Amino acid sequence: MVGTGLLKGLWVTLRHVVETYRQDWHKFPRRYRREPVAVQEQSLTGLFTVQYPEERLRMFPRFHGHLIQKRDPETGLYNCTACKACERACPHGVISVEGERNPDRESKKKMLVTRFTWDAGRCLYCGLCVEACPSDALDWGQGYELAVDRREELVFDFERLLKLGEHAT
Amino acid sequence: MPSLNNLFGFLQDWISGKLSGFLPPWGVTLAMMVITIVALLLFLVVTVMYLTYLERKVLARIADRLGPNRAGPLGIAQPVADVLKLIVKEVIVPARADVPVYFLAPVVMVAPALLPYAVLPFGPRMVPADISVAVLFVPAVTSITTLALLMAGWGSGNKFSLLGGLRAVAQKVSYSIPLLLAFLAVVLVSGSLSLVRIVEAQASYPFLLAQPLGFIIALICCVAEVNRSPFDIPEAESELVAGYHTEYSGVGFAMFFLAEYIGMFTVSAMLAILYLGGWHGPLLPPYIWFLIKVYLILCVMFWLRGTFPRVRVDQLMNLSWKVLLPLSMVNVAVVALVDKLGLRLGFLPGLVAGLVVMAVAAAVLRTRRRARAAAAARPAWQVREA
Repeated sequence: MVGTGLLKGLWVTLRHVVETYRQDWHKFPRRYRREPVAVQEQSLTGLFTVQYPEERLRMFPRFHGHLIQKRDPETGLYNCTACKACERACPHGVISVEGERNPDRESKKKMLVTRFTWDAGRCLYCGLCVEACPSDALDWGQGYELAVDRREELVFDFERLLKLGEHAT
Repeated sequence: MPSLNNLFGFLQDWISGKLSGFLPPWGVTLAMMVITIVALLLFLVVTVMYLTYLERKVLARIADRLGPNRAGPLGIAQPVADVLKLIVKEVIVPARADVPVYFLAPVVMVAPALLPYAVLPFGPRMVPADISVAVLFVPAVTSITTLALLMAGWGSGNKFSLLGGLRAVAQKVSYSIPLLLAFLAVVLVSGSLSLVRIVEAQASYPFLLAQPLGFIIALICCVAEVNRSPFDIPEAESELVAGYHTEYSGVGFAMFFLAEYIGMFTVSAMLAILYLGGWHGPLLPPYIWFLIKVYLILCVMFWLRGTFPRVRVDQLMNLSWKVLLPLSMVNVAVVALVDKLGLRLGFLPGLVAGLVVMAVAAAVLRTRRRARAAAAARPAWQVREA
């Protein structure tokens, strides 16, 4: 029939309109008042808009946000053994690690990290350091709001990475 | 709720009663005219502001977006911000402009766009002037805007503007004819040229039922008349920058914008009056029903804009002269025939006849398209032999 293509097109657009409302229904008042909504998943149908400062997308697990340092959830000690595998793996020399033998001989931690820096400003985000890490200490976080006011702040120290790790889990 | 149903009639009586205390009768009439005009203008300006908002919201939803949401809650202050921006913008006159024509065009555009509101009935007793040829009056005055578009295109001294103006003239002239023929069928059904009488004739059923074909023709023509997408070739940005209003900025552009949206409201109101039964409806006050119907048609126009790509110039002309014009003539002939037979069956004969005509037209168009496709599929040397 002549004109069925037109009707089909109208049907498609109508369905999209209805779909945006259907998906939105459960966050009805908050979303339209622009109040902060917690981190949310991106959906394939319905509204595509994320009202950014108020709404944030949850990033997918493979996302290369920033590096984090993980802790052992039971003991609370950090996993890093200052083995320098990440430092050697880094193609840009962005990571530098210094460690010393733990003076407390009874402790499970043989090595203490005295200095760990990651220069995010020069990082490639290639992930070779994460792959090289033998003790499941270094990993990617899902954060993406990494802008800072001064260039020096781009250099993350060990404490900051540990804190980011706590946020991530 | 008689008071709510007749709210504006009551207001009219109350104000004129107050005024007659200290004004002579002619003064009261004059004052009432001024009050009506001011009220209508205010209504129109606010309506246009929020039509842009509604349009952006509807288009955004079609594209899975949220639309304006930053200025105020729900982006409700967005039109205000837009208007303020347009008012404070600099008015630039192109170096090669024909200055008097350039400055006159926006005025010539807005004035005729406002004229139809003198005769459009928003409800019973809510029509400033119930003239007996309103169905002719509205298309007559709105087609003056064609002149304004040509003036804008010429006055800008810019080849794209001029092309846009020429396209606008060609389009408006082509689509006025099937539009008026579709309106003529309604006039035949209702037996009157007065918009109020036409609405009153639809008390039992809206003419959409008696005139399905006429409604579709009129809807297409109305969208084309106000240069809306998919018929927005006078301002096709991919071809003509912005067409006739390329060189306008600030208030000049704002007036074109205003006239365009008022024109949309006008044609939607005409469709609502002629086909959807105007102010008739249960429970709610008449003027509310009228506005609901008008906004329904406006939303359909936004829907069309969000769905269809722009037509080419040749497609536009073909649609008008080869499809809509013959169909509208057949429509008028069928309506006249049904009227002559004098069947007392309400809308049924009209509905059946309209559907039959549409089916036949679709079949004819399909066979022609098949023939064209077959010709295109054959190799070129065969076509030459045949």
